[in-house]
Amino acid sequence: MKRTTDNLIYLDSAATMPIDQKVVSAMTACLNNTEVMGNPSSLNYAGRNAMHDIEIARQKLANLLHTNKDNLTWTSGATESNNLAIIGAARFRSHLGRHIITMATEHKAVLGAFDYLEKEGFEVTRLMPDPSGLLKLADLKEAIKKETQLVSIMHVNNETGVTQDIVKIGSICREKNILFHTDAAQSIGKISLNLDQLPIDLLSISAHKFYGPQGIGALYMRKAAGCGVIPLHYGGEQENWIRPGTLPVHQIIGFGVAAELALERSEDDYLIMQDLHKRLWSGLKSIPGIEINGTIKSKYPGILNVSISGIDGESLILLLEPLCVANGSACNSKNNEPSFVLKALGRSDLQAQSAIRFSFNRNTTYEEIDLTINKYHKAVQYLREIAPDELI
Amino acid sequence: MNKPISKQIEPYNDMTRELFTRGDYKDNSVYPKGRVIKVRKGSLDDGLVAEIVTVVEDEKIVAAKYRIYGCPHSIASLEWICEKIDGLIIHDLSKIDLSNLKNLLLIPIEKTSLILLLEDVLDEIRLQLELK
Repeated sequence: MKRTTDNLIYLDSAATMPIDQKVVSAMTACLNNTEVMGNPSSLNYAGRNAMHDIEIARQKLANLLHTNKDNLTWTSGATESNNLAIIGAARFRSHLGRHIITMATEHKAVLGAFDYLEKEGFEVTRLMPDPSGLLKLADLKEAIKKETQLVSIMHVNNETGVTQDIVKIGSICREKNILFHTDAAQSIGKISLNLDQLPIDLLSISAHKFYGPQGIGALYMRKAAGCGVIPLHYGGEQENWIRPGTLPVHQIIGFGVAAELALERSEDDYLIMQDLHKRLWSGLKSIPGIEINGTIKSKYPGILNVSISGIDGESLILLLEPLCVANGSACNSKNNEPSFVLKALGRSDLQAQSAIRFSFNRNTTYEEIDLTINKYHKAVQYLREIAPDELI
Repeated sequence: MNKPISKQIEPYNDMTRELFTRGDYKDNSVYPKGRVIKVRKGSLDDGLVAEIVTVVEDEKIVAAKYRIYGCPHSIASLEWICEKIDGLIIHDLSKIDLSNLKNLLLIPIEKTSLILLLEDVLDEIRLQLELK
């Protein structure tokens, strides 16, 4: 049964952002336009028009990233970009060594790719964060071996918002001639990055994390000697043979518009996120036993992840309805196991199990934040009223 | 041909939702006159602690109250059990059957241990009342 509500408050924007109406308009116009209805790989009129619009969208994304559009490959989203970057690059450079490094707090799309490569015979080092969620650069330096050929460390963590210093990490890698990949699904469109000046070789992007459509993403790959990937799919010349398959024109056009809007708005949006984060945490922090997961000092403010002692997360989420929040990463939310990311930060099973991730977007209002604070207080009060004495 | 895999998208039915938030039988530590029997099972490490207090007077359960740490299905289950046993003649406790609770509250298969734990709670109450 599908449930309906008139009072939905959406604070799960790290899972997927509400699509911007300008993006919807552009996509709808594309779908209704017979001039661009062709297969972009076709040489006929409608196909050439479609490819023309795709290249305009690619340029818009390149403008956002401050790079050349030839460095961008369309994919179905960040999961595919991560797989293509990690598996593709590790295989491409396997003659240089078979040791690869990542962090235990990465998104499962990254960890899964590393697990796969491990089964292929690669040696994998999974670095643990410090209790604040940050990578200790000394640990990275220590883990690097002569055979290390790839490091993948995410920019903004999808569960906690903790932001790694990708400039320093990338510089360490470049010094050692090691490829550096970053999963930037949670940061592109929200935090300005100049890829032509940053020591990043491969970067994964997802459109629906910044007001674009679901099902479309991109992989940034620096044009440089030794930086490349072996494709994961075969059977077409699209995207220079790297990612074959018919390009979804309307999604790419929507992605382009989202990138254009992000370039205009991301700095203002960041200030809005700071404001919302401050307001929500100010309203929650007085509750006994509540604490933020991850450092507040190096963090994207669009995400606030809190744990609370003596409260079951699943019950808390149901009491918060119709508020939409997450009790882990969205990809993981049907699994009742405590978040592996929070466990890696040293949280106990109970602390991790009580965690709620609030994530905002530019349409989030003060009124919604205040209602959230009120609902959270009431939910905790109810669950503590029925809890065994030692948990109260 | 393989059977299609059924996917339950909505994990809580209306009955679970209603019992989960009702709280009529939550333990407020105020008990009527009678013999107080307190049974507690589960552990925080397992993510479930269930505690039922029954007050017995003249062979009758004159109050049933609970405290719980757990998921919505477990909270709804305790509300349901206390409602069923409140006011019972103690010999009728054996008639409380949890086998259908799984269907009533749509308790998913991965939470089968919840039913087992609740059966343990009821068994312990019966034991303390020397009904077993």
